[in-house]
Amino acid sequence: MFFQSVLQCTYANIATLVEEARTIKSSDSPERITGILFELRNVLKRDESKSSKTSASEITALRHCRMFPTNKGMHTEYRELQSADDENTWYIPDNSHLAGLFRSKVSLLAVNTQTAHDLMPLFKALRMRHQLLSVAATKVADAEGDPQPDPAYTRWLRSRVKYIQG
Amino acid sequence: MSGFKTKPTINHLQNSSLVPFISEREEILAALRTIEVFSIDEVVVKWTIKDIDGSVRVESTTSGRAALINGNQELQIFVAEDDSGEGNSLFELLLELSDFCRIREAHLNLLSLILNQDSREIVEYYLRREGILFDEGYADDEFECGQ
Repeated sequence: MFFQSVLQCTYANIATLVEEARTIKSSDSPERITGILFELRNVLKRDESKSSKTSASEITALRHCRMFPTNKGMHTEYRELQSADDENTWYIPDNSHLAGLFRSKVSLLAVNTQTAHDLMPLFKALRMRHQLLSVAATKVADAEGDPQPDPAYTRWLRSRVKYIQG
Repeated sequence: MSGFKTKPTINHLQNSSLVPFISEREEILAALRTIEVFSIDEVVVKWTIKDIDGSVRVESTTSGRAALINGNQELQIFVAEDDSGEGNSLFELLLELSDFCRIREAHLNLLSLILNQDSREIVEYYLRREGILFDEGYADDEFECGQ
């Protein structure tokens, strides 16, 4: 308690957490795994805000760790552990609309959208931005019928959007 | 303790903006100045995830009432004309704009007000109250009502 309340040593150091992340098994409870992920987020966030940056070798080690539980389809149980290095094989559901669209087609990190947002400092530190669904998925709109310019609607929207442009 | 009271600050987020001060901010603001709206029968949105080599890995198609596409020349807004079926084009427009402009959740209510309120005075009152910056010179411009 002394260390926590007075010295604020609330977090483990990064080396300890890398070792702990390496012990994650697919049979572990989701609570244990997300607990470790949040601890990592806290340490990386703390190191980011201080001069003691996490070293490149520590980041590399973390990117190798198969510590991200993923699932596909409507299975609520996670099925496979993935690492940050397993790029283009799984994605982070940071947008609920996109998660619904792609859930049956690609493997997604087995967390909800809010948790995905809460873990963002971890993804940022491990250079995983391109694995965010909102980044990986691009859209093209097809018009059913013949699109017609709508000058009145355009004028209306421009007059409103001015208030967004402050 | 003097009897003189200073006026309380209404909101700690003074001098904020609906488009956050992120690296893409200027790009977003520039695109907003080029908005063009197109009416169509139905919006079909195709989402794709591509591999590193650019080939489409998976795709998913969905229909909707409004879509925003940032083209090369202009920011195109497609709006389905007939709202009598499922969905609501104005609500989907709000979702598209908030997504494109990276508007924070705490500010979505203000975006909703901007799109729904036909009184310029009311819109500006609440923007001022919430400390949102906007150009007061808009008073000379046209404020279109009722979409």
